[in-house]
Amino acid sequence: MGEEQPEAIRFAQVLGLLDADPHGCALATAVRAADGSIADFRLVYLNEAGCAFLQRPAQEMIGRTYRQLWPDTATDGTLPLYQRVVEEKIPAVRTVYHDRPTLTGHFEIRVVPLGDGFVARFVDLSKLTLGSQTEGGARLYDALDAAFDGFAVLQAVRDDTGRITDFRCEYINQIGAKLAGHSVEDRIGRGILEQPSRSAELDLFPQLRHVAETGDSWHQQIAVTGSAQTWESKAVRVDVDIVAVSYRDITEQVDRQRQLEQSAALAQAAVDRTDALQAVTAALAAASSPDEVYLAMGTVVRPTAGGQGLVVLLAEHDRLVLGYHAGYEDHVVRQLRELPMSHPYPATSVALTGQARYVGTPEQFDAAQPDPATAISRGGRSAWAFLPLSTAGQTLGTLVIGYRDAREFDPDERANLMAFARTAAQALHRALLHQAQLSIATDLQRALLPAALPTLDGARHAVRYLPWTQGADVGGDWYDVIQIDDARAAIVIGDVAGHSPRAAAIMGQLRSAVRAYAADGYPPADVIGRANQHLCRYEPNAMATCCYLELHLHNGTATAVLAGHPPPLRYADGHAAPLRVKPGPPLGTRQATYHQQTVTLPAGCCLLLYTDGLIEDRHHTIDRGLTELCQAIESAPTRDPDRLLDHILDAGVGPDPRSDDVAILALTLESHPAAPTP
Amino acid sequence: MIITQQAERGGVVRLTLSGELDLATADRLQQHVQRALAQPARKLVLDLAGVAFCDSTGLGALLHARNTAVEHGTGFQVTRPRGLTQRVLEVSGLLDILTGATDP
Repeated sequence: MGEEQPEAIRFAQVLGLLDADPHGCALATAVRAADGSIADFRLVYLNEAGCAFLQRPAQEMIGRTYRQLWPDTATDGTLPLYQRVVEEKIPAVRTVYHDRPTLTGHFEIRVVPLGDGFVARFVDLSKLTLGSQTEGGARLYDALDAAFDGFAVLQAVRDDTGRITDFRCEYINQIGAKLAGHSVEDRIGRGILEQPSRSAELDLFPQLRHVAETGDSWHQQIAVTGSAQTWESKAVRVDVDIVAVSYRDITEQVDRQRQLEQSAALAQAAVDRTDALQAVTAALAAASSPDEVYLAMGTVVRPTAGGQGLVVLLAEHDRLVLGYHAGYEDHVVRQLRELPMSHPYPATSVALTGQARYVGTPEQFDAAQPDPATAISRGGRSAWAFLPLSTAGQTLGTLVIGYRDAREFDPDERANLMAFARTAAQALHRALLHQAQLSIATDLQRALLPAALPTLDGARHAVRYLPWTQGADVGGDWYDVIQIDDARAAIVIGDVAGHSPRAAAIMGQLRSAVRAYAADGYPPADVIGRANQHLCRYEPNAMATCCYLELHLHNGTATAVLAGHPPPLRYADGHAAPLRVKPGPPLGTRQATYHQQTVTLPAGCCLLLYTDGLIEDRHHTIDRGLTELCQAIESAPTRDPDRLLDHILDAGVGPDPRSDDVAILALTLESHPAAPTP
Repeated sequence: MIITQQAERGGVVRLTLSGELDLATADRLQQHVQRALAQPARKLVLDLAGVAFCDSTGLGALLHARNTAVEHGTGFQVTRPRGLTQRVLEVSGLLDILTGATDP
């Protein structure tokens, strides 16, 4: 007792001090095992504040060991800490969080060695305040708990080499713990890499280490491995080896952003569809033949648009006839060549009613055609839009667009498809009309020009006709070779003013009139004079030029009449020149008189008749063209009529490019004319 | 093409043309001729001194003007064709018939 007394007195004094301490205070002594190692600690003293804190009477706790009172301390690092304090005689500070019925809050425990044991003081951190005490500010930790963000204060844990191997969680708020999938209690005082969990803190560790080592701040979005979560995290070094981390779960915001982007993508797709429709509309407007219309329509059918095939069926009385197909298999094309209007294939009812039909699935397609024997097969398609091609109150037929995949035709898309079908119908209607006119005009012209010219005795001839315009803008040029009788033939070239089916018709009339008067035996001036009267009477506003040459091949002369037409060229003895024949006015001139003139035709000479498109236009004077033509004839290697014409056309005579039709007729006399028959 | 109209002594109406007489302007000539002939006149004169260019449509217009005047019982004459215009009238055999005056 005597030796212990100083110890005991000192002990009592200490106890007296501790009693007065507002913070909880505990004294514990080591419980040593047989080998001397510390196995446990016995609580020998707990002050009033401590009892109030732990909400248990002192008698219940004093004399019992930590393992008995608080079994967790054996595993949560508390006992080992106390062991170290006692054995190494160095104090330690520890932050803990308790959320138990008996004890709730953040505590700082200061442990100081005393004897073969320690004194532990608990500081209730929740009693720390934020802001001025007189203003009664929120408690710091309550404030942090109320924050949206998870927040933690981490202390770097270094190994013997000084490398950071872990971070001990000194503080973590409610939300932070929750985000990490733990309770606060579990985290406080623990290293973040200790738990074998798939927590985000594992992903964060390299960044936290970097922050602790360099002092750089770090702020990033991270996708949490092993979960669908996305976190936004910020880490800052607040002191040596101390990192403050805040983090929030932004998975919802990220999802919302993704949805927004999807909506924007949908909106952009709608805009692209409209742009595509506009481009196709422009192409359709520019199309002038049915083929060009179909080509433009075909651009709508692209794999990216989801379209896979396109078919145009044209209505004819009681059936649909295939007009065009693209992207359809041969066997389906064969089936679609001709369909009676009574066929159940949706295209027929669309052509009849003018109402579109949308078939979104293969099942719907099959259901529409109940008889498998006659049903049009699906081919590679699963959805179809059957669109009426209607314009000006008339349905031309049906446009079928087939899609590879089943499809919901939403109102937007339907509106787009109908707009497209309307535009296509207009373009097609216009093109079909034009095509009809074209073929009429071409047929007309072909009928009006001689299919074959008669061969003449004593001369060879060739002709070229080069129309400048195409299609319905037929010109009125014509040429003719007429065998009048045994002794006489005539060559004619003419040009009715204008480019139109009417001009072509007038040309036909004139050609017939000239042939008729020539056949009647009228002299050249009368042939032309009568043709002129004919034209003035039957086509009062028409005008035409004409060159008429009556040939007397057996005696080497010709008699020429010009009606407003440029003179024929004669090539003889190496020299080409226009025949000097005074021109009369064009056909269609009232009260005109015509004169004829006889010229000689040496054996082997060439005559060239042509229309003015060969030699002149707005920028190319007639005299210049005539000179060029004479030079071309003179430079020709041969007077064979066909090759002569080719040479002339290649020689750059007249306007380039041409701005009018060109007709040329070449006639070459035999070198040794046959004797006249008696 | 510019067309100006003047009344002259002796009941003559002179239309002076300048510019180009072609597909683009032929109709205007016809309109002017119709208007000129709406008022009583003894003779219609077309002055072509200022016509730099005349193509087949222009020729047709001149002929048409002549025909209209003749139908109206009005005398008709084309005067002072120059350069290219004159050449075109020559080649078309219209020079004499247009520049020679027709009797009213």
